[in-house]
Amino acid sequence: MNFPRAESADIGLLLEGTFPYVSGGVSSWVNQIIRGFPHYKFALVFIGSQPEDYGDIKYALPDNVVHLEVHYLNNKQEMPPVRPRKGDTKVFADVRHMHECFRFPATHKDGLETFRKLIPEMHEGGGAGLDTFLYSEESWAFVKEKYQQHCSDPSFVDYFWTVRSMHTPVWMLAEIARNFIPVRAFHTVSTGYAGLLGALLKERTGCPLILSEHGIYTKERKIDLFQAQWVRDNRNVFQRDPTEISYFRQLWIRFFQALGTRCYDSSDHIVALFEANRLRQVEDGAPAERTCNIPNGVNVPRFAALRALRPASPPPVLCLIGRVVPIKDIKTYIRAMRTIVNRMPQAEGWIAGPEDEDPDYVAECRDLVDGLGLNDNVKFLGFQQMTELLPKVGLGVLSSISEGLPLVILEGFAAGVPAVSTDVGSCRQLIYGLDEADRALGAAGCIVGIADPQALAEAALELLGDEAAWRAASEAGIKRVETYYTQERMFDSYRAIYEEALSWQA
Amino acid sequence: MIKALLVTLVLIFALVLEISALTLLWLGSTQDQVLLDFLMQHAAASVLLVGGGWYFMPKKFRHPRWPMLLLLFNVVFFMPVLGGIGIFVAGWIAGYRRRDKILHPFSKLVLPEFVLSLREPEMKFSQGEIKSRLAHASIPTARRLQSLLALQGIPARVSSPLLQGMLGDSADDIRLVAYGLLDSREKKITAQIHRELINLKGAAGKEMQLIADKQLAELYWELVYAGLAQGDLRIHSLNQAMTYADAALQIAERDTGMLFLKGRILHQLKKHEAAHQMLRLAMEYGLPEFRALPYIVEIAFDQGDYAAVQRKLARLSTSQITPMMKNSINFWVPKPEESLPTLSKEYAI
Repeated sequence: MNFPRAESADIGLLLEGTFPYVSGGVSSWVNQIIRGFPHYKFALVFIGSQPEDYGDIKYALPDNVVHLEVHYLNNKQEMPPVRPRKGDTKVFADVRHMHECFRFPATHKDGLETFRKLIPEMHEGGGAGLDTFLYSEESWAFVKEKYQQHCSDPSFVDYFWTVRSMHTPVWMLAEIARNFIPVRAFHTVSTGYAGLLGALLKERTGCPLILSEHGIYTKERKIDLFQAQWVRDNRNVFQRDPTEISYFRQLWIRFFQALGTRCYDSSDHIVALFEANRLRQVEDGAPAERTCNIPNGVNVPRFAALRALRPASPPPVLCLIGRVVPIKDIKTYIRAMRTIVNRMPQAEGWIAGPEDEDPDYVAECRDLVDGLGLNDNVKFLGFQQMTELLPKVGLGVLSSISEGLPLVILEGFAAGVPAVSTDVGSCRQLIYGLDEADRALGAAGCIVGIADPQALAEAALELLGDEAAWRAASEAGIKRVETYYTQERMFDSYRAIYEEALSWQA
Repeated sequence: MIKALLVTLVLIFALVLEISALTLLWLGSTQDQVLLDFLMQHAAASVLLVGGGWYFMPKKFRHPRWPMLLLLFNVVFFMPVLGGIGIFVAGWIAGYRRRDKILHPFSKLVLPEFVLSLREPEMKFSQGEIKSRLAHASIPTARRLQSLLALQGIPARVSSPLLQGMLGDSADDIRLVAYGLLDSREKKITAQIHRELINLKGAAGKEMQLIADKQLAELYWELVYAGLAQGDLRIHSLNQAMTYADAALQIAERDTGMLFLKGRILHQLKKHEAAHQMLRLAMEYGLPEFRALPYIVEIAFDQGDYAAVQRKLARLSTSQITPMMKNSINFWVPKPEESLPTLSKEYAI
């Protein structure tokens, strides 16, 4: 596929594992932002793990995307030729100092300063180039030294390769940063690798960096790593402390934390979707004075038109709109459907969302539907146009174990569909309201605990079984989205940030 | 001492002879006789020099004796002056300067330390503290997360309710890790169920069918027993377990394990009378009484028949029960009146 190429652009958008290759909330938001600012030219960098994980691009690229480059961090890349070398003692003294500083929150700032000093050396043949990291005696001595000082896992071989595979992408990002086209500001949609790329680009060019975080990348990585099966643990029964996670897990977690703080440190604007996430960013090292909240917004008139198409009384149709992936906890929704169907046999549970991301999970969900005897009531619809789907739905359901500020709830509200959701991300604020004035609008549905199918079912039955309650919830949702979550409000906030960033002159 | 003195004298004489020989040459006469005299004096000086030097030679360089003497003589004789100086310098360097190294060809190394673990893990708290730490939101999330991870090593039946409780925690991390732990347990059992269902479909013959049915009944039961299914799903899992237990009993009607399981399933479904009958049947077919009785007691308790509870618990021998069960017996069963110790016949006299 031929991607657009340009010599320069206004805004460099740094995207890790999202638009345009993955469909979902964050990708829709990116699409919305690019289309919302047609007078700015966007240059996109997509960072993925490996090409096999992504199919074709899922979105038609907006006209103002003038440049798109795609990079895969786990791709088998060409390594620099193996040549023995000594390594620069002075550079390694800095590397040593930086790692020591990153160990303790109090000295993080020092560590970041040292990292900044090392960036210009991060090219092949440079004092801190990839070749030096891979093949130099100093590097070997440093890895050995760190293993002896800190590692509680007995395997040096695993330690050595963990350190290697963990750090190699950093040089790939440095390379991407070196070759990127000139833009006037950078905007990253997560911390992590894209965030580090943002920090490197800011360091090279001095252009402002904006960070918009939908979830909290570091936290999500951490949870993943707690359960990841691929992280080795070689401790034997005498060495194992059940309260301590394996050293390699700790190492990976600290690595992503360091990426996060590096990005927070370099960002001029740090945007969260809601207050709890903003506080979490500050807790993780974001300077509070640079943080702010900009909630997502939806195109209300587009969905408001759907209200007229709805049947007079709420259809007994529940719908979960989202990708069929573990984080959405579709299984809890399916289990809840068992209870709902027991009491309301005509009820239907729809699952509308792409199924290509995690085929194993999709199979597990289908097995569960089968196992619970719900084949007649639960339907997998695949990707659907919201405007066609929403008029047929009685109740929106979100059973996720983690969310930011889900657009699907807002779109549902705008179309008059109340929702039952788990108590994650900003869902509580969307359904019950944030401040007093917001709460006065009423509840637009119900919040239940995560992984509690029984509670989810009870809440859904209560709303679907009581038409008056359903109407009140629907009205509250409409008022809430029209007052607080319009696309215009979101664009106004971003316009101010973009204008400030683009007015910056070197 | 005298020997050293003599040798020194020999060396001095050799030196004098050599100087005299060189003087002859230096005077510049071109006569053959002078050359002959020089050669003879130089040869004599060389012999003495080698003889005297031999005494100062380190022992290890004196073998083999004659070839060594010949070599030294050749060097000294054919390279006048330089040969002598060369041998002296070489002997000094080889014999004295590197003495230590040559005497100890193997250097000593410090014994490496045998390390089992490079960093000793610190045990932070005992098991009893886990529950209380998890319950207090004021304790930093990182510490509570450690407690949560410790639950991985505890049987699912005990830890699942704790994990379920953590699903509503205020800290996101705690909630998600608890969810992940529960989910992975549930996933493991569900995957086994899925495998067994395939086995059952392809089962050739009654025997294979029986194995698959028994496995399925136990797996569905495990979902309930480990606290992984709640509400309607719990009932659904119990019904599934019951279906497969029945299927297994169709093939092997005297399978005490299945009868016992069916009794427990019926009990969980609150079908007390049927559960009681099933457990009695299991005992009839050979299930030891001490295994079935605690459940029969529980059924009686659920039915409100406390007299039966007391009666049946009294039948349990203390040697066959768990310490926890013992507490129940102590509570329910009145102790026999303590009798005074009686002396045996032999000592009664």
